[in-house]
Amino acid sequence: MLVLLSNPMKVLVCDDSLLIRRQLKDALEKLGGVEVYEASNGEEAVEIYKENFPELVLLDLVMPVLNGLDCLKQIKEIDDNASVVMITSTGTKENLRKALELGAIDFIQKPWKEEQLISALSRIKGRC
Amino acid sequence: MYDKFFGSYLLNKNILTNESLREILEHMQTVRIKVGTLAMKEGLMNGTQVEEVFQLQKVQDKKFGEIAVEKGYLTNAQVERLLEHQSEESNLQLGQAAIDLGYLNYEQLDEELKNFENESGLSKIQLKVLEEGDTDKIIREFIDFKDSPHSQMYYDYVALLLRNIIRFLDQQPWIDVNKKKEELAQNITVYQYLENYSRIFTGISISQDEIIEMAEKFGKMSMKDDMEMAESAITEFLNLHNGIFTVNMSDQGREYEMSPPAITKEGTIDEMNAGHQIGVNTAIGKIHLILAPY
Repeated sequence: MLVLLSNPMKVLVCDDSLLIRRQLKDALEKLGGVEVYEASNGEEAVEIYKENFPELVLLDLVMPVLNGLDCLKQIKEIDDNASVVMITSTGTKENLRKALELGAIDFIQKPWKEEQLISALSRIKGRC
Repeated sequence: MYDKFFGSYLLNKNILTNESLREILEHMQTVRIKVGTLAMKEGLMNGTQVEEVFQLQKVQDKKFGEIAVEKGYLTNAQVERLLEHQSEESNLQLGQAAIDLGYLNYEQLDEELKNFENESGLSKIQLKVLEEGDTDKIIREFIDFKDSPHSQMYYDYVALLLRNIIRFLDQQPWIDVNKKKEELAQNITVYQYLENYSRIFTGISISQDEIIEMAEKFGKMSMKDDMEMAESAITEFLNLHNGIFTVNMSDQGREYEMSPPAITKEGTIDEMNAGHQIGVNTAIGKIHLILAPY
């Protein structure tokens, strides 16, 4: 179990895939010390971000309604210090470049590994 | 892949059922090819002779090769050569597994192997390509994308799908030789558009009876009575596969963007009817791949 903070870290998981949301939520909760919020598209993620200001956002790229890059842009407009990690199946150099330009702190190619989640969480812990 | 085509042939002839074929496919990974089976495949012995030697082995404390030499069916040099190739031969694993599990005897296997080569409708070149087992060659021999724009990419797409079925579904796939389009209206079909460098409709269609088990393999979790999660898993499998494909294409300077994946459970959509349909068999079910320019 990885206990990161005395208060649970708020993590927003945004992916249109029910399976990926479930897998990420299960993995995060198993690591411990987190409170997980879920969004199934970019628009929902922006709304949840405004209300809860999570310490970390795990954001898919290809989604209906509002895609990951546009969502990232809007979250950054709300909070320039937002920590957003892209998790995507289409990890092309072009998508990586765009995401980093918009302020993503990391870019994970699916299928993700638990070590990558731990690394992202540790990075946020280092900032707190 | 030769032996899996042979399995499909036995299924179509009603010599095996779906259940027995599945049991054989699961068992065949651990099978050791017997010298007699190899001798039969190479035409050095017939099924009756192999059966006879195995029966004699039950009452004599001798190896198969020794008895076969004594009976005059094989020479010592042939036995030595067969033993050398015993571990290399993979095209006979299905037949050996069918014998080990009691679904065929040696005489039946001998006869059906000959029938397969004569009745399967496959050319000598196609049979040779199957025996060699080179996936890229098999795809090119059995799927005709020649009239399609960007045919090379389509071949690459299918080859990657086969690798991803092994990687993410833990299944050994083989292409359906029967090129007839199947009715997919009752299936669950997930699809995704790729666009930019060119425009490709991609879809995979799976019967409702088979989707749960495939989804569980991908999601690595139980999905009994949870069709929504199973559909999500198959959708994500296509999304993941397409993502890897777009990365590969990007590395070659061909940029694609992916639409969010979608699903249809009733009827078909136009691109499915107009596109190429490629059947990919696995031990746990069949995946119909649909590829179409749009």
